[in-house]
Amino acid sequence: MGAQSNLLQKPALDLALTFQGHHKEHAELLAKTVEKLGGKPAAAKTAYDFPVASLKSQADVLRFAAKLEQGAVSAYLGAVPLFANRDLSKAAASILGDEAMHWAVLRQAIGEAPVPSAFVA
Amino acid sequence: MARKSVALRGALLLLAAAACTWAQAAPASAVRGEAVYARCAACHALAQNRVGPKHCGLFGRMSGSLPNFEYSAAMKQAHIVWNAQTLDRFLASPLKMVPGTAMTYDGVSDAAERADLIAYLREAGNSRECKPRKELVERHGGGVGAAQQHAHRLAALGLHHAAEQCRHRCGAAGLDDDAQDAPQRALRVSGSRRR
Repeated sequence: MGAQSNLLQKPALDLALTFQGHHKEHAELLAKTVEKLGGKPAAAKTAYDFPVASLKSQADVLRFAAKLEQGAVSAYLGAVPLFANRDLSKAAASILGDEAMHWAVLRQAIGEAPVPSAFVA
Repeated sequence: MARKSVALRGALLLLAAAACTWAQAAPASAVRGEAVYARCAACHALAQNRVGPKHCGLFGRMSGSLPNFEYSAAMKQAHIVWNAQTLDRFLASPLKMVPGTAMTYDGVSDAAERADLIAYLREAGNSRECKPRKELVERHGGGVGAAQQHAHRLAALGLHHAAEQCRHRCGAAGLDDDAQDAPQRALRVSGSRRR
């Protein structure tokens, strides 16, 4: 979303495109792992409802993206303990680490402490 | 000297115990809850459905009942009315309360964090994001109607002079929302002080 918002300028735009690529790779890895385990991966939604009207500047987009990355870290952290399968846990933990890096970089970009605490929740 | 040291240690222990008691009894905070809610942002938002359903209007809503959102079969059949108690149980361990829910999340294990989160969700339900200005104006009739409502609130607080002043001034000041700080703002507009 950030990459396509037309609100980002370089180098933030390059960063958004890199992160977008990572997220596509995450989805591929999870889908492959689910299939390997005999499941059927969930399909992406046809549309996502983001508050695009309230995003008016690069800073708005980066702040919103940082919140999503934080949420992603928490979502993976909350999912890992539920996985009985180690392959799935490993995939999720690997993605969690990447999302945490995205979050830190985005926090730095919006002028916040990149790593606010010793633990994520 | 030794007696002094024992007394000091005792006093410190008492202080620590008092601090613990205070911490346990600290009321739920919507401000802290907003920080906890940040953990939900990958899947949820207040006003939009995402991977998970939106949270505006959550209190009093039947589980699995939002139109235009595709719930798991488990959630559709759960028949839970969301309130502070049911949310507390669900947030502690979603899969325990609703086995088969699509919310693959271990839960918020800390009871105080859950209380804060629930306080935030309750307060956010009355926020501008959940109740845009237009809807509020329609509900209260805007202007004069809203001023009357603020005046009633002030009167209910025993601030009769402020209520009278508000009847004349609050409508003109555009106090046409029901934000949490509305009584305080109405007081300022009415030119009165809380005694």
